[in-house]
Amino acid sequence: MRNLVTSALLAGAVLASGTSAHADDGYFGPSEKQLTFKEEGERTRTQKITLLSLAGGAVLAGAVGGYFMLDAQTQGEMVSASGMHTLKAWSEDLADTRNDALRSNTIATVSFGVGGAFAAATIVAYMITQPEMKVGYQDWQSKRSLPSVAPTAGGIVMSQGWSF
Amino acid sequence: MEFLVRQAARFPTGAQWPAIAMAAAAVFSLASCKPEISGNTYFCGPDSLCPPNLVCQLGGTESFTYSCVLPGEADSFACPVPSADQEPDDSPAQARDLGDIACGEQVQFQNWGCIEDGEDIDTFRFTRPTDCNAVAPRVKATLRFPLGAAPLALELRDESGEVLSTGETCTSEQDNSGTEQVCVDHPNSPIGTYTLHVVLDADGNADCDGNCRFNRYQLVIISPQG
Repeated sequence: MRNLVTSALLAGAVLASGTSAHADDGYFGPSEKQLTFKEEGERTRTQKITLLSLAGGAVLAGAVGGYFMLDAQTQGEMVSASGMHTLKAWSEDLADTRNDALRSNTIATVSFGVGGAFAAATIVAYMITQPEMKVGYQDWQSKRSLPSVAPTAGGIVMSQGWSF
Repeated sequence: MEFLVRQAARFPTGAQWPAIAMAAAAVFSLASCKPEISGNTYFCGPDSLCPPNLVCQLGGTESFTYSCVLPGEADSFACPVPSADQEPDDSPAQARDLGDIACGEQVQFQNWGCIEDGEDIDTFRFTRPTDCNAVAPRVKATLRFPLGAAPLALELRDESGEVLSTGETCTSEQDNSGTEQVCVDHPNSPIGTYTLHVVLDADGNADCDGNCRFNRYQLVIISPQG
């Protein structure tokens, strides 16, 4: 009822302005034309879970890699030496520390590799599961249309909006 | 497939650069996490133990202590000339005579002694003189040798050859010289002649499976006042 009233007011205003603008037949009346719009589709629940799992795997593997990298760094610094004499005799304990540093380094390398694979898989999965654009149609005469009027110097500006 | 190729052409996007930078940083960080040990930074441990890719320098003459060095820098073991010139000194009759060691006197060998193999014995003879007035005169001796080759043992014997005291490990925890010390401390040592015997430690297993059954040593003999 409000739309009808507004349309009527608009039509009246246009006519009163004396310009060449006029309402065509069917401008606000029935028409077979439709509004065409595109909107991004949504990923399925499974796709979202998959993406989150892959990203989580990347973060987890990265965290594990980071932990062991720090461990390798700490233990490596305990035995690494160059230049000056350490004034220590090489011992089984030092050898164990060095081996632990190497083991942590290996674990960190593998973890970063796995994390990288997860990250790459996340990116690929993100691209693959990119939802296609959906094309939608809406009647010009949709009940959800909203006309508006704004007065300007020497006339008015009319518009009509649709929500989808 | 076409979709993937199309997407790949746009890779990396602005948001993906940080991920690539982080991955590169991780790779560089990993490279720096590996322990790196260069030559001459560690003394050889027992059994000539050295870090991988390094070997024990057993033949050097510039230092008393064996160090871990690159394989190309290592020389084979040889007893130093002053020590070899003293041979044979395997029995009390052939012992190096140190003469009298008075109360409060200390005798320290500037040159390194050397045990060439499992059969070698180095014997030192000394006498406690009659003018020693201490109430309970002692004989102390300290044998110091590098950890890198076979451990050595020290015995104090009297004139008849009876073993009075056997050395025990007395290396200080603060000792950072890459050496082991064995000490003899024999109380109530009366006036007379004594011998010190330096041999390979029969109980020591750190002889590199027989490949380092030798070592150098330094010997200090002290005759404290009381």
